[in-house]
Amino acid sequence: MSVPYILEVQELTLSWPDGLTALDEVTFHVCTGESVAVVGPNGAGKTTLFLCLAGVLIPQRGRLCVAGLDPRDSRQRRLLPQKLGLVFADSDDQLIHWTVYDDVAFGPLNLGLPETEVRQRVEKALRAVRLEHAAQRVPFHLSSGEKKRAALAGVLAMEPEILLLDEPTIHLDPRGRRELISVLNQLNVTKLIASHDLEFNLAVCQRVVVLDQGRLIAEGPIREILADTRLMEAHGLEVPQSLKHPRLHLTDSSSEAG
Amino acid sequence: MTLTLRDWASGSSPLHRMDARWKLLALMSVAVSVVWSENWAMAALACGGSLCWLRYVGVTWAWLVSRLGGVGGFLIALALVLPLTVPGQPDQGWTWGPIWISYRGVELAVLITLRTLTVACVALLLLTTTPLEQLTRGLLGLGIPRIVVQLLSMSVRYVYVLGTELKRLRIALRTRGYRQSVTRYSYQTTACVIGSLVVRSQERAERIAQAMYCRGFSGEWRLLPVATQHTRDAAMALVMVLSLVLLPWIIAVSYQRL
Repeated sequence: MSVPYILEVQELTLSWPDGLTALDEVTFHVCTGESVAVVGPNGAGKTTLFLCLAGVLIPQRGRLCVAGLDPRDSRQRRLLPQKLGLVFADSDDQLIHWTVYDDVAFGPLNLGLPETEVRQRVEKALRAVRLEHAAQRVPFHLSSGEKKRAALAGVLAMEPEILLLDEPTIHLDPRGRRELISVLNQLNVTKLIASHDLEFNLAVCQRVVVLDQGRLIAEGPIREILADTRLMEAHGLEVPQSLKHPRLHLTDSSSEAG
Repeated sequence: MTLTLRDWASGSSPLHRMDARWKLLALMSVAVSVVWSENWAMAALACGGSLCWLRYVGVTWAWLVSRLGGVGGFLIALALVLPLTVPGQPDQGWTWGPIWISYRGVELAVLITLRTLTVACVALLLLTTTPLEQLTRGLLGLGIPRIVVQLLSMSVRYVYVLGTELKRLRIALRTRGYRQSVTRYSYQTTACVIGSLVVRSQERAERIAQAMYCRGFSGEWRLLPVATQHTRDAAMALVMVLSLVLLPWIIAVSYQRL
């Protein structure tokens, strides 16, 4: 029986006009409902991979299948926003409207949905990210955590099957980070998260893909891969503290929970 | 703390609740009528009327003076120059030592000052009672091309983001001992800052376009409609035009006949 892959990446290769290889024969699969972390040092190709999956960048070689659509095909690419949502690293790039409500409605309106459905989706998305109180606020009056959640709501309102999050914890304080973990863990969609915050990845994802210089280095269960000191250090990464000192971390978590 | 236009725009007066289309229509007719009128008495009454409206919606004198200050500088320069430069017969002016002041010049200076102040007050009345998201809807409702409204909305939205970036650049310069002065080095540094800001803006514009594309934007700027009460709003617009155009005109004409 075939495994229901929602995302298939095969030998994906993309080079910049100056000849530099951004992605070099990257191959991996993601099953429906899975949460996968994409980790790697700066310049590893994480954001480029996400932009290829979203159909913003067109790879020179390789095969891509995103929720049954091929982002390389221009007709299928137009249908991608209904299937895949990308939350950018800088929320200001995404929050283009003057109120959070209007911004969250932007995507559903672009899908051509009727007004009542757009409103229902906006309210549902704002509830999902716990931002109902900020619906009429201006994006630049929001905190970084609220901006991030507003950007996430903007993507969730489109009800995508796959959610890509690029550096979701950047500029977030511990509270904002905790809130985001809790929101993401309650979302029942396939998630791909590119982040340097390995503890965050551990809290949200079950599987990891390690990239370095555009190449796929390792892929597998997140605790197993991130605990591999040699692999991590060889690719400019560090074993997360919670895997280095699991007992200490367990004590911290239980006292926090108490 | 200085109150922004948006702070005033979140009030609850009947003018705040008025549909932006009717408000735009009414205030645009006021501005056009005042600018076309050659009657200084009418302009004075319209100016007084618009100040009364501003007070009615809750704007304080101090804030108003601070906002009109910028226009004031230009008007003072104009009021000083026009009476001295407008030509006329020797008996159509005052002679004060070597200086000859033209009646027509004084009349023109007063008329232009009153017109400018009225238009500035009317613009403030619009902006202090209409949040930008409603204003954009109003402009779309009046048939202004979508691309123009989109450009206006996004320009205003991202002016704040760019302003924050400029502030960060200036702080970074100051922390490294830079002080603005009238030197070649200072001009070079300013040019570098402007160049850096332009490059950052272009990069941000690209990311914004990518984010919009990922949310299904295909070139048409769509907004959710707002519920309106046309009869009430039309009546309110009529009251505004009556109080700022018709009544001042009747009073001015009657005064001149006496």
